[in-house]
Amino acid sequence: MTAMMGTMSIVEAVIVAVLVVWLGLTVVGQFVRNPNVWRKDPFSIIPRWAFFVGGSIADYSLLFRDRLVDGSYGPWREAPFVRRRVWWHVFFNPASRCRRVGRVLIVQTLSGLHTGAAAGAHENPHCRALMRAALSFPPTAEARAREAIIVRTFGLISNRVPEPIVRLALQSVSTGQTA
Amino acid sequence: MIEQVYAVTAGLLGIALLVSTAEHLYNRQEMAPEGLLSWTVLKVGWESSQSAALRHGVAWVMGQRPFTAMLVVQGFATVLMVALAARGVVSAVVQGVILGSQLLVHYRNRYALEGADQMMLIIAAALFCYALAPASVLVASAALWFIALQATLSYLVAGVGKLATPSWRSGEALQVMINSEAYGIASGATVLLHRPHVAKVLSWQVMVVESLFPFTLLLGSPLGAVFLVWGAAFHAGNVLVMGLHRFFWAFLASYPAVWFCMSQRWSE
Repeated sequence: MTAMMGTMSIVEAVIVAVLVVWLGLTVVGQFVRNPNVWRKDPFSIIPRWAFFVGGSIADYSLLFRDRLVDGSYGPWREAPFVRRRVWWHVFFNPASRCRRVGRVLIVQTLSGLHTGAAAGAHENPHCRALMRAALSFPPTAEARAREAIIVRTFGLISNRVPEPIVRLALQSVSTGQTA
Repeated sequence: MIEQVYAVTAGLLGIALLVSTAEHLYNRQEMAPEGLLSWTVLKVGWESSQSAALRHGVAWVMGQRPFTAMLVVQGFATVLMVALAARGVVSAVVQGVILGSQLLVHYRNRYALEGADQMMLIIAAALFCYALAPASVLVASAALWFIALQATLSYLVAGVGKLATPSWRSGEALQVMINSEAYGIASGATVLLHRPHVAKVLSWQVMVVESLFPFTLLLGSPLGAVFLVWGAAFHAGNVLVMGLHRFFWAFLASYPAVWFCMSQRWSE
């Protein structure tokens, strides 16, 4: 051992030590459940390898519709980041990144509403971020035809089991008159 | 032999990084201040007690233009990495750029990170270590063992975690997953919903092989190679059924290291 240490340069020792510590923290990290601990790893250096373990997979959708200047509503549309997979997505699927972000924001919003952590959806930072991003979705065809949107309304739907099959959280956000 | 292992690893990581970088660049419009991938959205829930000056600096780096420029640099560095096959002094700089940019990608995309991103970071870090001391057999071996142990740990944790979940043991979790819009496929869902025993067999096959994956390092070749063949087929199936295309390249990039460590153990 001493002989090995003697022949090991400082650079080698540092590199090996970093890799050993990193691996050790990875092992320990697999047992950490407290989300506050993970906040101490802002670069997500410690991987979490428990893929698709635990809670059931659910689908979440963000719906929106536009209220026009005459007070009528257009039809509900699904957020554009939810796209069905096509064959070439086995090579290249950039929308999956947007979908993942949208999914996390929806889950966090519904979770906040469910636990009552926020006074209302408007107080929920994830909900605010989601709505803010959703305001940039292109207007529906009906809204484009009438050249005006004054309010965009949102709905969140989940098929999460065994909890209630559908939850709807409506938000109205003024986008200003765009005519 | 070790240089060839690094060359193949760099080549496979290069494919994974190029696909990932191209997808980020394709999404650059969404990185605009009002977009879904804007820093305004992605920082929610992660803001800490940083000083105002630091927050401002971070916001600038994570903005649409600087981040897009960083992605372009990462793309060029990845091409260079593959061309250099992780050799030479330039290689250390190139690997450093790739590791640094991957860390920034991790920081910015914490919401959208997946296992593939984490494996890419692990491998990029190992290649950087090798590039820092290319003449050291100790570092070269340690970096490959680091990749191999992380890869086998990933399968072990995923496998044992599923084994501990009743819905996985009954096959129900797989049925629900394949029936979901996010990770499923209609034809597969139809088959599994009408044949629950198939779902159960598939679930147990995944759980058992994932849990036993670390044995690759104990069994050595050629028996351990069976696990690698299974792993490649498993990830290919996940690409087709679940759309996990980035996992395929990222995890395949760890296999040369697993193969090396497996062979090393066997030859001892």
